[in-house]
Amino acid sequence: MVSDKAIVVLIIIAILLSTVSIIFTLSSTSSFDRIPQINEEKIPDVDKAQVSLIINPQPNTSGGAP
Amino acid sequence: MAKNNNNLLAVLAIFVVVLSLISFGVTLYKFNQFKEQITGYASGYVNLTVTTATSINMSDDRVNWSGGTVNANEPNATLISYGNGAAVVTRGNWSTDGVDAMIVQNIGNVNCSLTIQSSKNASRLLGSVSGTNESFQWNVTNKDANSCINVSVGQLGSFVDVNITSGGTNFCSAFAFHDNRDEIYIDIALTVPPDTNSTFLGSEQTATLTILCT
Repeated sequence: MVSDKAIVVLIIIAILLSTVSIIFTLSSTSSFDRIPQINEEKIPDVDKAQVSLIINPQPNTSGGAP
Repeated sequence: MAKNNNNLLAVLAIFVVVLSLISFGVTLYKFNQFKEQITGYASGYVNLTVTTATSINMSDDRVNWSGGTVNANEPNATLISYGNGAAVVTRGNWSTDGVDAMIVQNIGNVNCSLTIQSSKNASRLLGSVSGTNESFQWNVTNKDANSCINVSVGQLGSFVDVNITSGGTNFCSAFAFHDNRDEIYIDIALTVPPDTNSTFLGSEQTATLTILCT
């Protein structure tokens, strides 16, 4: 002979266990978003270029030697 | 009859409790098994580093004006490169033959940040005694449209004084690597003064630009 109270207690335990199971599953799988972590590492490249000119003196415009 | 119902409910309740326990245990076991498979370890994170090599190429890496003179009685001469074969000289007699813009191409497989620094500014390259009527400027433009993206405002498409400070000027936060949009021009504009220091005259004056792709 099983009392009504015992049945209610058993059902409540079953509901609690199911709830704990669901919460555990959800909290565990939420960490999947963070793995794997992929980092990008770039190796830089450098190049050189040049700007050059020659500035010649202005010719003497005073007329030169007599 | 009520007693029978209670007994039946009790059996069902016990069955549900046992089933819940088994379910929780299986979830726990399978989750740990799955986690080991995807991470290689029971705890911690997978930390994967992908190394990518940036690479730039300069098909034209020199703007060479050769020799010339500021025209008599002029305040200065201007020498400007415009892309390919469109250089202009005013108030001076430098030749524009073979003077083209520098061309930088991203030949890597990843976008990069493009920074340029000069070894000399106008006074160090052109040596005006009075410190006036001289300038040394650069102008970065897209050879292929949209090669240089995420540009700082005012840095692209206009002549501005070269930067000799460490780190230089960042022109493109993303210099694209895709075909048909991976090339830029670097044009140069010089204002040559008539009063260049005599130690600069007659010999080649050179400034080096360092182009960094990171």
